[in-house]
Amino acid sequence: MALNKMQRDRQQREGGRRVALDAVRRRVEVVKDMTPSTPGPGRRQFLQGIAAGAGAVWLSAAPELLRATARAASCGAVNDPYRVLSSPEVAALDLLTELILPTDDTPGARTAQVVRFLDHALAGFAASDLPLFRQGLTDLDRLAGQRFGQGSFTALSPGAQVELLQSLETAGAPFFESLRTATLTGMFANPEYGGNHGKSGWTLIGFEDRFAWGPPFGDYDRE
Amino acid sequence: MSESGVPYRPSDPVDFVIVGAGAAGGVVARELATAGFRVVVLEQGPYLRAPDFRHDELAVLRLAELTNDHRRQPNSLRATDRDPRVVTPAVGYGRAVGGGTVHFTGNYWRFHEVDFIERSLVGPVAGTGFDDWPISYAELEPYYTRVEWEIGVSGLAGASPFDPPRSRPYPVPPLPIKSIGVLAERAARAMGWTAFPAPMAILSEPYRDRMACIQCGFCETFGCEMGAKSSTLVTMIPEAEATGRCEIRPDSYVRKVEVDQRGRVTGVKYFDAKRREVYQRARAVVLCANGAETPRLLLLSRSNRFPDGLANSSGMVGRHLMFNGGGLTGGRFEGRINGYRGTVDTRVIHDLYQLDPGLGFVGGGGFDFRWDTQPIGFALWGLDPKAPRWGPDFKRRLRESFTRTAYALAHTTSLPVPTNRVSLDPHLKDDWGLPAISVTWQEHPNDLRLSEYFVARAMDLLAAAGAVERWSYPAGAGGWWPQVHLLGTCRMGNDPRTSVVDRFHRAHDVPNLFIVDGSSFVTSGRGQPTMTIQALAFRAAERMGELARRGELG
Repeated sequence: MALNKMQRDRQQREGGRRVALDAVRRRVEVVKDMTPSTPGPGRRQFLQGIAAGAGAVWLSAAPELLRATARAASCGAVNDPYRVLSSPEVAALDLLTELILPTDDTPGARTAQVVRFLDHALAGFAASDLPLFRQGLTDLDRLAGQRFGQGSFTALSPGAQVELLQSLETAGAPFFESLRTATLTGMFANPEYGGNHGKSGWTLIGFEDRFAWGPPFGDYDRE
Repeated sequence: MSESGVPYRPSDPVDFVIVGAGAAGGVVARELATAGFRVVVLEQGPYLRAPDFRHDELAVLRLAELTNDHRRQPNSLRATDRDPRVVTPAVGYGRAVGGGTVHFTGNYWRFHEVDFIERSLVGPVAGTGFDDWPISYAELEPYYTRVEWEIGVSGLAGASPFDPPRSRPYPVPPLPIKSIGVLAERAARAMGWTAFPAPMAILSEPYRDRMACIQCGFCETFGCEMGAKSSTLVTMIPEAEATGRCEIRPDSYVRKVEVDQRGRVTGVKYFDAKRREVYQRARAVVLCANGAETPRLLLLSRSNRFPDGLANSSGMVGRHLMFNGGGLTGGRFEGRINGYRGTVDTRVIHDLYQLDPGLGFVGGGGFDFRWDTQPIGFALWGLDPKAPRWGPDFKRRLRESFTRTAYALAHTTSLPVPTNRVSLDPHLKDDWGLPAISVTWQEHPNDLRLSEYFVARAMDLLAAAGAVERWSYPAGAGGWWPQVHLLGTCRMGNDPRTSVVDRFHRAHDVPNLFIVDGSSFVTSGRGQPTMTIQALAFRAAERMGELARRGELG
């Protein structure tokens, strides 16, 4: 019974489908002239890159390690000593994370206390990345000497700092990729991990952590 | 004591042992236990509950909590047999009681009639094993309806002019439209197409003692803390356990299906949580371990009697691996869309589901307008890939785009290519010492052209919706690793020489072995395979019960 109705419905629809196919045929000419889209990193390709290489540890930590890091970060106070980072390392990472997400009239890495997040993470779930970070900071100081005759990255002019970081990105340096991933993670992760201080990262982009919504969801709902 | 309070002794042969507690395994367990059979379900992942599901993006971003963990279960990947294998995440699947239905988005499209008979309609395609299914849409229709009513699917019957025939409306109405769906409607209107309410396995209203969705926005990759997402974890599995005849054993990693002298299965051997080997005996075995793990387990179960792997006299186990192609495009709009509020998508477009083969390629697809990322993910890869990746301009774009971006995603056909396959890596081992999954996969030229066509159309849709800026990601399944739609690797068919299971999911070679999951698919459909996996599972379980009652399973 139901199937008879199904067949009838199908026949009624055939006409409409043919019209749609004609429309498709007309569109083909357009397609043939189209330049293929520029290849770039796909989202899951990007995930794969992260999973396989630089930055992996920031996005695939074992749950129990994450929980331990969150506990440690939640117990910390603003003026506590850093857990693994030295003062020069804190100073350099403060500059570097600010290059990635500058603090201006809106929140940036400094506002969100991303370096605090890095310290907790590198002492906790991301400990395996600490050698990469230390080596990366050492390399930056060395490059500051070689290219600009300065003793450290922090002593460089802002323009020279940007130039050095750009060269790391262009070279595909694992330290750069890991630093970028870690900075964005610290900026936007739940505040319990020590960054996104006062939800400043979420405020920046307009994310509200209400976790229950209804219409209107946005400006176009009533159209 | 088991979770369900029905502890069966491993030496006690139960009627059925089911490998995998996901989309299919949950359905089969519930159907068989309800029909009076004694059932053990072995799930390699943990048994998580609603309180375990948190809005913590950092914890689930790489999905290590809810899916296979590639550090313990590595994969290798190569394009062809001539290429070296590279160790990289190739397949992703749900690894928890409930399987992929715990963290999925919940898009529940039925396959259309064409998906079952397309080979007959358009003819052969070189380099493929393109074939018709041994069953038709009409045969499966009652089971699609059962899925919708048993688990709770929201939708509006008749809203899509392209929907296949149905015998009953949806049990609950569609979820409320969001701005992102309004934009899809606007785009579809401009193209002369129809954007219809997305059928979703998420409750828009309370149903069968479960709560409606509160629109928290954390669907894809997250578990639902409200139980509103219609996973088997909150639907089929509790009902199976309530019979008192079904035991769910989490943290149980099956390594071999055992056979006797007669070539019949006698049970399975698995590692428990403490990595002790256990041999669970059963009168029949049902593999629902997904399109990658199911063929792997059959290949791991080689024996003197089955030297090429269990149920593999055809040589088809692992072959014809399909993923679904398509592609992702993004657009920024002037107004606030706030895609992060509420369900991932609310409108779907199926006008190109069945393309004219005169276009030069076979297949078709669908689109949805969606938002499936959260703050960290958006910052990492949500913007135009050509945009700056750090600095003041990057930050400005993040600030301006998070609430104003929509993605148009195309889902398309993948053709079954025999050399695209899952096999055992000869060197790489998992943490338990078992040979790892090796994927050999090269996109068929047809599928790539089809995907490029759909990406171009998705860009048209974004323009028609009024995007002020648009971008696309690489087209085709090759741009998406690890793959999560794992299809075709133990295909169904009438001919034992060219297929692994018969039209009722019984292995051609082994009368008391059944296989039902994405591996059964003969064609890929256009996307969103879970609904079809579950319809097949309801149908297969009915047959298993009949055979068992007739004493045909030994």
